[in-house]
Order: sequence, then C-alpha cells, then structure tokens
Amino acid sequence: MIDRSVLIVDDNAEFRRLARQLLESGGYFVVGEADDAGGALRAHAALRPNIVLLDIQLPDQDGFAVAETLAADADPPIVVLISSRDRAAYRRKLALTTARAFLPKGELTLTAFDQAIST
Amino acid sequence: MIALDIAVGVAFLLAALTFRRTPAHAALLAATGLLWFAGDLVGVLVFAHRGPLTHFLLLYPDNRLRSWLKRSVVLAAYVASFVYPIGQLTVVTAALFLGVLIAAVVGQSRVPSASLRSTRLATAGAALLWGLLTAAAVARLAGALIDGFMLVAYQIVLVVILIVIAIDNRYRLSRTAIVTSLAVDLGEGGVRSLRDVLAEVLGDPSVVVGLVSDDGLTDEAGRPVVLNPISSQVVTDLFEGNHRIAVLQHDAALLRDKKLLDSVTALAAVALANARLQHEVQARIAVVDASRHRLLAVADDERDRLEAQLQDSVLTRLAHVEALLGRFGSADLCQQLESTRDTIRAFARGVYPRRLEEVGLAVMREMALPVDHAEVNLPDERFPPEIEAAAYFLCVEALTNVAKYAGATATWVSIEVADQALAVEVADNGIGGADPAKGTGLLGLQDRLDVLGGVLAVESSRRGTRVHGVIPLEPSEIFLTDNNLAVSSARH
Repeated sequence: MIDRSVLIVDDNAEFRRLARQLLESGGYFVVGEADDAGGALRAHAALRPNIVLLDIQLPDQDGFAVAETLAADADPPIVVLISSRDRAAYRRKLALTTARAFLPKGELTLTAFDQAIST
Repeated sequence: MIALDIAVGVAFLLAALTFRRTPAHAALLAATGLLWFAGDLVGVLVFAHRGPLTHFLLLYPDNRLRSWLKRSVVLAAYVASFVYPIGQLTVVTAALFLGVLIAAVVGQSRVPSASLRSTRLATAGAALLWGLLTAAAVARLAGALIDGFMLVAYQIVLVVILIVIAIDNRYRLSRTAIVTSLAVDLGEGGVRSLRDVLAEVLGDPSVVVGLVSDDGLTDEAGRPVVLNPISSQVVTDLFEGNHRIAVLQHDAALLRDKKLLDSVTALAAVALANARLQHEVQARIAVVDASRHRLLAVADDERDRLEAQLQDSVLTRLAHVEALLGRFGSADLCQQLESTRDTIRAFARGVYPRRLEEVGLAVMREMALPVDHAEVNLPDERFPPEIEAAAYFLCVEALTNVAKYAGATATWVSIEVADQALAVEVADNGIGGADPAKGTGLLGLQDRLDVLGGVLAVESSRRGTRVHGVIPLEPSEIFLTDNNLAVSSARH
C-alpha cells in the first residue's frame, strides 16, 4: 500500500475543496492545501506528502518550475500536474517535465488519478 | 446730334439707377448725367461732367480712393472740369491723360485680385476718355477741323464705357454665387482645407487661418499657428455667436471689398462651427464603437471564465459523484456519467476555446470540428484576439449549420489574408436554405463582425451554401486618430 497523503496546490479555493472531496472519497488523505508556488514548497517541506496535485497556472510561478524544485528534493513526491487547459497547450513542457502525469481538470476522475499514481 | 447728346445724359442717369447698391457710384454717375445737361445749358459747365466721371472711373469698383496718386488725379480732374478756361488748355488735358494712365498702371498692384478685372475696365475707360480728349486738343492745336467728329466719337465712347461697366457691375453681383459655392465647398468638409478654399475665393494665397483652441491658435490639423502679419496684412476675427472661434490673417487690400470679406468670414465661421459639431459626433461614435469593442471583449472573457468554471467545478464535482457511485458498483450509471462528462467537456471547449488564444486559428486543425469531412485551409500567422475569435466563431457556427441542416458530402473552410483583411469562407455542397434573417446564430456573427467593421454574406442555393465573412485587419480611422479611445485588445 503506497503512502496516499496528498498536497493540493491550486489558486482556486472551490477547486481545492472539490478535489479534496474527490480524493478523500477515493481513500486518499489530503494533508494540506496551497494556493501558490511559494505556499506549495513551504507546505511540502512541512507536511512531506507523498503526492502533490499541482496546478500549472499559479499566480507566482508556473507548476513546471515547482515540479522541478520538488524533483530536486532528497525524497521527491509524486507530482500530478493539472490544468484547465488541454494537454496540447503544454505539449513541449510536458515532454520534459519530471512530473509523473498530467491531467486536464475536466478529466480528473478517481480512476484517472489512481492510474496516474500507479504508473 | 441733339438726340445723341440727350441720350448720353440719360444713359448716365439710368446707369446711376443700376448702381443702387453702391451709393457712392450712383451719386457720381448721377452727378455726371446732371452736369452733362447743365453743360448744355450753361456754357462754363461744359466740361464739368468730366470731374465726377473721372472720379467714378478711378474709383470703381471700390468705394474709396485709396491711393494718393488717384486722389490727386481726381482732384486735378475736378479743377480742370469746373474752372472752365483751364479745361480748355491742351497741356492740362494731356497732363490729366498722363496722370490717369499712371494711376491706372500703378494703382493696380494694390487691388485685390477679385476686383482686378473691374478696376482694369474702369481705368482703361478713363484712359481712353482722356486720350481721346488729348487727341482732340492736339488736333485742334494742329488746325485740323475735326471737332464735330470728335464730339460724336467722345459721346459714343462715353456710352460704350458706361455699358461695359454696367455689365461688369452686373456680373460682380453674381459674386453672391461664388460665396454660395464657397458654402458648398466648405460644407463638403475634409476634401480641401478651409485655408485653401478661403485663399482661392479671396484671391489671396497668403491667407492664414488660426483656429482658437485651449492651447492657443492651431491650424486645421491641430498644429500651432503663429500670426505675424507683415505690413500689408491684417487680422480679422471670426465669431460664432459671441465666441471668437478663429482668426484670419490676410492681405489688407481685401478690406476694400468689405462685403465679400464679410460674407466669406461669416461662411467660414459657419463651416468651422459645423466642423466642430462633426468632430463631436465622430468622437461620440468613437466612444460608442469603443464601448462595443469592450462589450465584445467582456463577452469573450465571460465565455473564458465559464469554460474554466465548467472544468474546475462542474466536471470535478461529477468526478466526485462518479467516485461515490463507483463504490456501489453501478457500471451503467458510471458509464452514463462518463458520457455526460464528455458532453460537458465538449461544450466547455465550445464556449471558449482557450487553445485559440494559444495557437490561433490553427486550433481548428487539432480540434474535432462539427463536420468531420471538412477540408480546411488555415493561416499559421496570428491576428488580434478579437479578430481570431470572430473568424473562429464564424467557422464553427457555419459548420454547425452544415452539420445540422445541409446534408453536405463536401465542406470547405478557408481563412486567408487578402487586402488588409481576413477573408473567411465556409462552403458546402448541401441542400442550401441558410438564411441569416432566421435564427440567431448567423445574426450573432453579423454583430460580431459589425463591431470589427467587417461584413458577412450568405449565399444559399440548392447546390450548396457559402458563408463569407471579411474582417478588416487595420483598425478603422476613428481608432487611428483618437488614441484615447483606442481599445486595448489584450485581455489577459
């Protein structure tokens, strides 16, 4: 059984609430939320979640940069990038990212999330 | 002989009547006519008519003798005419002839060009008159007996001069017509500058027009104007009501034709007031146009926000429902839910395609179009977002119509840059029947194109439908000239 602790990073509070409900109903354990890149890094350092659900469009820095920083950690978390834009919008950056997976917000379901984590 | 003599006197009195509008001229002509008859009755007054006649000929068409030379010649002519024995002296006649000639030649340089022809005719008449008298005097001196012949010639010349000047005066009255055409010229606005029109009508190329504005005097293009009249120029103010709206720097000689100057300045004032009103109307149109642009941008922002809302909250919420349902193992329900989510996803993309912002019109190559057999020809370059959105929605709306109604087996989408505009065309080989007057889809597109100054045309027949839109890439002139009102197309 993998560690199912999750940090949710998104600047939209309603989305964070809904995502928390969704993931918790699937047996994940949301240990914290952050609404920008700085908050995400601080929360990760404090809470050490195994999974980070990371929005690409953040007010201070983009999700790709946050993912790079997290990947440099001694014990890097699994990063799942999300965005309200399509995969096509980030084709080039997605090819290079260290993140485990990318999900458009419209396609974020438990099944898709489970798959992303387990691959 | 007596008949001709009387006819000359009557001719002067009649001519005086035709000069009612210029009392100074009428008085001089009447005096000439009366003195003509007086000369027939009183011997010493035989030359008296020459005084007012010379005065008239050197004066016309002006109403004041403006040069020192002309005044002297006229004074001399009066003296020679009324002091009987002097008028008989050949040398005096010859000297007056010379004086008239010089006044005629020298005086012309200071005449406004609009009056030049009249002045020339009258001074030529004066010169002819005194030339004839001088010739008669010289002939008499030489002992030639041609006095009778000379008298008849003199009388005929007088009548001819009178007729010519009366005709000229008649024509001068049609100056009103010139001023009216000036009104038309100015009314058309924008084609020629007010300054050019005024310079032409006043016959003064040195005319300077200064419009009174908050920043001082400016020309019609808004550049500052500095008046520095040289000695022969004066400045005339133009008023609208009690407000000084402009100034005119022009040749002082124009002041002599006060009526012309007055009517021209009055018309110029009207034209300027008119131009100001037009400018205000244009500014207002620009404001309305800008507000329509803003509304369009707001509408697109709203679509964008709606799409994000659907993605972030509705679909995520449904994912949660799906997860909860999954626990009860209802595969049917889950499948139903999944297809609902697909529908919403597709709808969310249709509401506002974010990819359009990112890749431009090329988005139509990567998305699922409402018609799957469409052949597309799209530009790779980028255009302002509102133009791309208009072209995109035009294609999508037209293609949706094709899919719904046309029953087409072939569809073509083409977007091309042509003549500073984006030409958008969606054509099919279906059954036709498209009518922009019915249904709101095409009408909404028409509005969208309207705001951007574009046009939409729909041709529909049994052999198919062609929807053709043209969207100008250059903003309209109003937006070029008025930066304050230009709409920012950046939205994010």
